[in-house]
Amino acid sequence: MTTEGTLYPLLGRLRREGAVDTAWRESPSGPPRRYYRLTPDGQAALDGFLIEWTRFRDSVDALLGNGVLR
Amino acid sequence: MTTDTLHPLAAEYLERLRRAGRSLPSGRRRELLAEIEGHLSEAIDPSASDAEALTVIDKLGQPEEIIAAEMPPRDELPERRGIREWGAIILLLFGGFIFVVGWFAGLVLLWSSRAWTTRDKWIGTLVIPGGLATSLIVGLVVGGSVTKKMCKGFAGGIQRCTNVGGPNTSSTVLGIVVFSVLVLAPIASSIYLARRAV
Repeated sequence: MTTEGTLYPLLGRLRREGAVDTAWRESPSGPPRRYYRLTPDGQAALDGFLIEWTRFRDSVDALLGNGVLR
Repeated sequence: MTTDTLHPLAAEYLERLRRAGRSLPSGRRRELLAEIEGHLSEAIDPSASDAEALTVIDKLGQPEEIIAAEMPPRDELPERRGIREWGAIILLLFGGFIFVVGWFAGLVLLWSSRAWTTRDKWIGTLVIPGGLATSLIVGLVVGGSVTKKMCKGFAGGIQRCTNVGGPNTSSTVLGIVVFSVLVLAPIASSIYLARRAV
């Protein structure tokens, strides 16, 4: 399992790349919370990735289904 | 600090993270610590048992792991000393002699380089504007006025010259000290920049 803490450096990278927007908001308990939201750029990147991923998954499924790799 | 709202073990973890993150750029380190602190204060109630706190902390991972993930990848690291960096250092030091324009060219190279932090760039800019040319000019002006004073003393006769000998000597010493500082400061600044741009 990947460690939860490394999520924050990842989120930071997405923020620097402009894929997500963040806003600090006061929290009823404890320090202010940072809220993340996809930017239009981030949404476009995600859409692109989903298309790519689906294509990749289908190719792998097809290969396995054809028995090429069995 | 809001550490008083944190479980003691969470505060201890945050402190370990702070120490592990010394090599990070300060802005990133501050942000990362704020996020992890938020995470800890949400996930662990200050009155939670140590066992509960440790479960959350274990899931978070080792501080070193998180810092390693935050470290900028190779291609984002500042550039090493290149032609631009050496150009900036040399022009900042000697550029003042090239009709002053040379120093400004050095300034442009300094500020456009990614090898230095903003703080380094301010040091390079302010110590000393004009570089060695400024030192020389200031040195000549100060030295000139000291010499003039001595000349006046001489012109007035040997007697008076020896009378004002005391203050003249001290102002000469002061002149030498000021001049040395003026010469050494830009050289030290250049050495500093050269060492920082690794």
